[in-house]
Amino acid sequence: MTIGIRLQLLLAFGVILVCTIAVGATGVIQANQLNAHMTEMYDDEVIGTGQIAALTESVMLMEDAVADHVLASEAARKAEVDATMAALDRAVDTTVEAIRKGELHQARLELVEEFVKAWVAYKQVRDTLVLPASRAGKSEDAHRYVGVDLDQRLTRVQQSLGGMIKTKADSARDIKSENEAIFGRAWQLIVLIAAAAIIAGIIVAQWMAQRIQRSLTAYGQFAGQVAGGDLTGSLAVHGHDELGRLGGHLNTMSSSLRELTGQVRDGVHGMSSASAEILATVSEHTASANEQSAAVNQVTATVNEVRAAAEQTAQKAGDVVGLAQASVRVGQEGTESVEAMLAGMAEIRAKVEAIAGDVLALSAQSQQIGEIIAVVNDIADQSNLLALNAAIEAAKAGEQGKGFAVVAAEVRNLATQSKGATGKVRGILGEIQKATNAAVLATEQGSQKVEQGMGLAQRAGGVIGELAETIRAAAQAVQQIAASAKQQSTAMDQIAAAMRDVNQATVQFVAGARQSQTAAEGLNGLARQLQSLTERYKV
Amino acid sequence: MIAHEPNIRSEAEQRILEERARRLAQPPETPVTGETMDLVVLVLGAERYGVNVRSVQEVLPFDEVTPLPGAPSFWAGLVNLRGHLYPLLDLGRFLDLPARPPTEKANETARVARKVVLVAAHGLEIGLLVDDVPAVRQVLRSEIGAPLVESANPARALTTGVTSDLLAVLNIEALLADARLTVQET
Repeated sequence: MTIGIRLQLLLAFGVILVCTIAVGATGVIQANQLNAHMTEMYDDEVIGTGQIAALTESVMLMEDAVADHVLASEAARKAEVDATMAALDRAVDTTVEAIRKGELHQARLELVEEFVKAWVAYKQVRDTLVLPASRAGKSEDAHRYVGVDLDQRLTRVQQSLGGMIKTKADSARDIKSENEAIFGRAWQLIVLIAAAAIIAGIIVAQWMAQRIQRSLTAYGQFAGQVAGGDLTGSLAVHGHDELGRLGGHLNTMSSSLRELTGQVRDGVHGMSSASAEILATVSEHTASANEQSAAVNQVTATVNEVRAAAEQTAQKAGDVVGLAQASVRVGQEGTESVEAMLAGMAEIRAKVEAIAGDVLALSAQSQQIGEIIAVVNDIADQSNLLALNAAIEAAKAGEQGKGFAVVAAEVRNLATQSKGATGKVRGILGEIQKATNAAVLATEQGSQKVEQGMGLAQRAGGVIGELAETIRAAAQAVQQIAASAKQQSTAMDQIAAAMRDVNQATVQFVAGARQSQTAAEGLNGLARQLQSLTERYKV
Repeated sequence: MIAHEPNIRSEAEQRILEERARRLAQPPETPVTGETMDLVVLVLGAERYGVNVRSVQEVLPFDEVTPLPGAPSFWAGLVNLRGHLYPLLDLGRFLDLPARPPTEKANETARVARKVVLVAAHGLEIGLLVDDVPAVRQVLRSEIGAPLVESANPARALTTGVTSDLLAVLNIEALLADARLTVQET
């Protein structure tokens, strides 16, 4: 069954509520019926009785008025009574009209009509006999008429009124007996429903009490177990209502507690070892802080040395700056010298080029000499051949040609000599040409060397310039070094100050480490206490 | 220039010395006794030949030759001399003489000195291509000996003898009558 406790309670109370509502409704309905009957009785009987009483009163007043009229002697008095009678007539008519309107029962209306007939007969006797006699002053006639005729009529009127009152009383008695019957029925019904409601309430209450009590008892036992430290058990849970859920939650709580206790135990174990470690570490820290203090003292000494070194560096850097400036001056002189050298080189090159031109001209002229020599050689060859032919012709001529043969021989001789001379000149010329070629080559080489020399000189100039530039840069760098060294010195002072602070901090740290040691010991004791506490729980 | 001066002087001196030497080397003027003969000296490689002056028309410088296609190799070609065409015989090749050692200097000298010797016989005129024509010599006919027996040279048939200074006398008439030339000519 998956209906929740709330719904169960609501259902039980609903049943009771329904029974109560039934009882109440029954009572209300019966009371309403009674009330309706009472209202009816009031309307019919009380009002009706009043109207009848009013009629009765009017009739009695009329009787008195008639008597007054008869007895009165003055006419004024009679007129006054006439007016009263007229008013009474109107009052009777009005009441009769009201009764006619309010009356619903046919039988009673007939009674009313009977009264109206009797009243009309009464008024006829009064108006036709009594009143004229009275006005005429015939008192005796008038008395007679009143005592006989009018009295008969009045009796009939009073009789009809008595009948009407009697019917009213009968009717009221009927209503009373009816009301009594209604009351008796209502009482029976209410008692019956109330009894049924009480029985249903007892049954539902019993059933729910059983249900809830069973679970609550089991849960209570379980909670007692848990409270006692036994976390091993678990609840058997039935149903899915709030109680079922409560049982589930109790189980969850128990297992959570179990887990928690286990974890706390582990944690306490870890804490115990951790606090021991902390203790050891704190001891180490104390030792290392002492070492640190010694190291800080060493560093302070070193910083002082470094500061002295930095000051020395600054001084040396100043010296180097002076040297570098001197070097820059020397570099400028070197550059000027190289420029002078370059100018000299350019002059040399111009001269060498001029020499080369001269030598080339010489070479061209020697070429011309060679051509002239070739011509001379050719002439010598031709002369030689001419002389040979002359010699042949002379030989052919025999004795006569002998002298001619001598001449021819001489010519040949001359030709041979000139050929030899040209050969020698050609040799000399060849040597001259070789020499001029060598000279041209030498001048070209010289020119090249001069070019190389100029290049080298320019490079040297550049190198010297660069050197001067480098030295200038170096001087600047050295100035920066000097400045840096001063800064370094200042920084070293600051470091020394910082080191003093560090030393103080170290001393404080040692004190703190001792406190930490004490705290760690306390922590260790706490862990042991926690361990003994968790031992109480069975897991 | 100045450095060369002693050289020049020495050359001049040398020339004077050569002059003297040549003069001293001249054979003494011997009185001509008997019949003489004038020979034009021809140089062919290392050989020297003599040709009778009577057969020689003219000596000319060797200029240029028009080759003769189809002709035997000893014909160098045709030469034009003053408007006349003459066949040119390479005498060295015809006589089967060894070519001169082809040194550069020798070639140069040859090119410069090569000459055409115009000869005539039997109404024929041909040019002989020779390396040089150094001189005209007068020899006694009595001095001319028999041709060298040991010479296997084809020129042997064409030589009439050898002078005292080992100059082979070439017979132009015989040369121009040589069967090889005539057969080739027809």
